[in-house]
Amino acid sequence: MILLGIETSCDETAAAIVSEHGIQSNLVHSQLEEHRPFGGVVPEIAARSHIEYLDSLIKRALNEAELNFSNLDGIAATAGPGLIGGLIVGLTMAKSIALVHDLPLIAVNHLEAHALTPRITSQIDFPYLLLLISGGHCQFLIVDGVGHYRRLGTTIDDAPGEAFDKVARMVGLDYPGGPAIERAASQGRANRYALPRPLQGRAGCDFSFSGLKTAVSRIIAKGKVLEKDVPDLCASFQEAVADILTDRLRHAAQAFVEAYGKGVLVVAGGVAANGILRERLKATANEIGFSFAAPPLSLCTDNAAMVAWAGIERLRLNMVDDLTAAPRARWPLDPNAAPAIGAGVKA
Amino acid sequence: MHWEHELAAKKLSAGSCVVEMRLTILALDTSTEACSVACWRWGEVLAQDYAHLGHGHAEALVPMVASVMAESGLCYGQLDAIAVTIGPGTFTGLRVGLAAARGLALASSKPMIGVTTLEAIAHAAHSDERSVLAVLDARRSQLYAQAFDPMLVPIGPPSVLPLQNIQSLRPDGPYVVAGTGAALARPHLLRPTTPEGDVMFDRGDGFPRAVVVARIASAREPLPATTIRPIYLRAPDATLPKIARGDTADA
Repeated sequence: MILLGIETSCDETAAAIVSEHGIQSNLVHSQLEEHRPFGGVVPEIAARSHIEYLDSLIKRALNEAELNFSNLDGIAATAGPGLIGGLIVGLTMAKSIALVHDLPLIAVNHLEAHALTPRITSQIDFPYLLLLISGGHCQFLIVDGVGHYRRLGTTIDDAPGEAFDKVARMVGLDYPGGPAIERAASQGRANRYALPRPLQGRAGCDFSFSGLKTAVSRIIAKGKVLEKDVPDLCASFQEAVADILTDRLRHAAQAFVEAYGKGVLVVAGGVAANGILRERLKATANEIGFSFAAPPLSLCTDNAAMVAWAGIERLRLNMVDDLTAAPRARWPLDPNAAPAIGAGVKA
Repeated sequence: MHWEHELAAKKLSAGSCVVEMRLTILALDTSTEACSVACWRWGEVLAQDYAHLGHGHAEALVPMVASVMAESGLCYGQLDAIAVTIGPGTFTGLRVGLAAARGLALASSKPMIGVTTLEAIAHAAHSDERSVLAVLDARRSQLYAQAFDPMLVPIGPPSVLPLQNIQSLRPDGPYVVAGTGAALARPHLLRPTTPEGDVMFDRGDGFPRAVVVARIASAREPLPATTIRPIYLRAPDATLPKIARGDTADA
């Protein structure tokens, strides 16, 4: 089974060819430079860029895999959640290709694509415990199977990727904030600044990052953070995020154990690319008797290989969509979970 | 933008009258609230569909293409080109049309033909002896507009301008006003000094149609799909942040 995957939900235009045996090609056209002056993703700029590059990227993905459309078994495209302008471009182009070549269309949930990513490269069986951490999301889910998710907890305000970006901007580091803070933090002392760990010790496994972000801005507002202090502040901030995630992990793991016993913790999403957070999560998982899995770094950030893979997983189960499939800005993995106040689309 | 260049090319093709009408074309339009698809072969419409949607183009367009193509009896390999309206229009609508058209072109290895929304409106409203002022409601009390001479040669590039400035694009001599912005433009074009019969208002609904896009495209040279880009006429809404060290964060 070989699928074309298309990803256009945020600021990466991506196309990939994936078979059941692995990734044949995986191309990403990053719009980073177009958004950098604005310090974040501008939806209209993103949408304009997707329509400019997507068709050429698909062609290159096929060429690199030395395949053409007639070799494909289906087309998978991210249909949500995300920025609607980009979703429309990717899903619409996927539909027209599916129409011409009479191929099944799979409208993929971007979060499900992240959730299933570790299964591209490793044998990981259902059910497993998933921590999804990115610029738009932060949630613990039990993955019972393709299309079956139970949300255990979510952020009640910001996503961690957002917090990284905003703190980076406050201390004068470049966008995107995640890698910039990780680099700076590697030279800093994590115990220098006392920062809060919102919700730490509280029952359940919801997250909050807003108070942490505000605490950083207060320290800066006092005017005592000089250039030389930035690494320490970044390290202290990153340490606080790690403490929040690992504290919440203990609660989520407990909920998983009650249902299934000990299992596997999978960490996915753009923030899972942070080495310190990965290490800390792995250590905590192992401490409480869970094994740990995370996709390779290149598959943590948005990419189309994960979309194609989710397409394969769905197509195997005959979960296909028709050409009227609608792009969805909001599309929770667990439709039964109550929306978290303040989390907006991040719930 | 190389408007002078394109304008010259259009004048040349209109003037020389070497019009190749033998193309087989699939045309799409989603530049306004309307959504339409037409299949055109050798000067006649094989199949077409039109719906006044308001919204939901991303859901409706590709199924509409499927049914029009099925009705036409053609397969994609028989097409010579995919034609699409490239704007101006709603940003989302333009991208639905372009994404579908570029996808169809890629999947069937066909070239494309871009037709501006204002050309499609002007051609639909055209009568021999009059110029045409094509106007689209651009919201925010503005119009997308372009004037065409009686030969349908554009008098200038498409532009976006405030309602009250529409007079500045008024063609010389008698002309017809067409498009979704016609009612908005009317009070600004009808002045007490306007000569009787100088300005007429088209009776149509003002929405572009894929059939007209196909007809225009059938006389044009197909181009590589990646050269067919939307004409937005407006920059994205985005303001540069004040990046200053020590700036307090927005909460």
